[in-house]
Amino acid sequence: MRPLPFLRCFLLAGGVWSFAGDLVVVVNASSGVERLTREEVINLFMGRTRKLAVGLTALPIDQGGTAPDRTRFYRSLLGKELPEINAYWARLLFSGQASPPRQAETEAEVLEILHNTKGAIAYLDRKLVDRRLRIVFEVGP
Amino acid sequence: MRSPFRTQIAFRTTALILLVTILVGIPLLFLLAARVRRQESSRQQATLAQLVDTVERTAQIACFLGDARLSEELGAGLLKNEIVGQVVIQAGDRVLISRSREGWVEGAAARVSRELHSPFDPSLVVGRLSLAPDEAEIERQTARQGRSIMLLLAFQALVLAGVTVGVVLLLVTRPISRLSHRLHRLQAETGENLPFIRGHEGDEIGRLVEDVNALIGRLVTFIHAERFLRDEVEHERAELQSAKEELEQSLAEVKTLQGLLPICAWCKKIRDDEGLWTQIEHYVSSNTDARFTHGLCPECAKAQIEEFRKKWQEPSS
Repeated sequence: MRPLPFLRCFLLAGGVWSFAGDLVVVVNASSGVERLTREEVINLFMGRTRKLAVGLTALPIDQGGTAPDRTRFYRSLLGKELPEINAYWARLLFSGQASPPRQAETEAEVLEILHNTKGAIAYLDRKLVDRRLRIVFEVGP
Repeated sequence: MRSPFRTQIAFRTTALILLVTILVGIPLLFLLAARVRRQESSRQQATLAQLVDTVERTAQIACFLGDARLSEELGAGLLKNEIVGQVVIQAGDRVLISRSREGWVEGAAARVSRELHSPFDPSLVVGRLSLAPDEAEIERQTARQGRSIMLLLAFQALVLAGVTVGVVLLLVTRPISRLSHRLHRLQAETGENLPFIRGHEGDEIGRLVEDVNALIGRLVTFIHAERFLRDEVEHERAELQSAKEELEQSLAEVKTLQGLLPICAWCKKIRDDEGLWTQIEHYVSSNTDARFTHGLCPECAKAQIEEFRKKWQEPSS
């Protein structure tokens, strides 16, 4: 029974490693978007820009609730915590001019939307990126 | 009827205090009004800055998104504050809102403007929020506070005047009035002293009573001295009168002959003023009170007797 805790520790470490993998911003490979700057990503996810550079209507996708990737994404991109982001959107709730990114419950749902919508844009763990997606911005670890 | 201003210290004091209060109060009021205006203006500037602080985050978001509706709501909210005259929010060159209070006119008061940065990138300027103060509100506040100050000053002046009247009546007029009544009844020539007013023994009124009593003392001394001197003068005058009368009587009784009398060297007759030669006895009796009684001195008697004898003997021879 001795090796079991070690194995468990190894697996956990591996899990954490994979959990803490690089975040990247991806789009549908057929969207025509090649690369985005940090400012463009911010503008898209914070409602300032509604269209991609190629003219497609942008559909930013957020991971639901307090998903670790969501926290990491906003912290890395904007240097802000989720309550601040929520407060930001709360201010805009009644104005109706800008709306928050669409919420996806799981990574699988994010992938599904990305695969099926040309203008979709989302952040994902680099390991989940497949050929149907294109990395347009690297958020970092 | 004489004016109370001339006859009553309390009235005069009150009138002077009110006059001074008014004369000092009016320029003071203007100074205070200017000060209140400055303070109100500064307060408005501070309040506007606070308002900008309060809405800055939302305004940043509105400018970041170019959200005119959010800007409208923001502007409407800001204009609910009475001191805000105009709200302007610009996202770059685009004016998201420029809204003024009804009847607002741009004045000299400085606007409070602030550059708005992106909520996600402090180095990126996304717009500008500008608030203009409502100067009419400043004037209203200034007038309101000016009125309050004026009422306070008036109230203060009235209270001060009332207190002054009371104090002057109690501490000055009434004791002086009592003193005056006592002085009128006082028989100073008899040496009667003025009694002290109770409670004023040690103050100026007490000193005045002391001075009056000292004067009465000196007056009595002078009266006595004057009476003594008058008696002396009367006595002297009587003596003089008596001496004069005696002298006049003596003079009346004495007749003297003065000057040169022309007298005959032989018969001893005297020539009078009319040029007549009269006997010396007659002349002296006429011009003096002297009277003559005749006699013979021994020599003349001897000579006359000898002559008489010779005459007696001659016929017989």
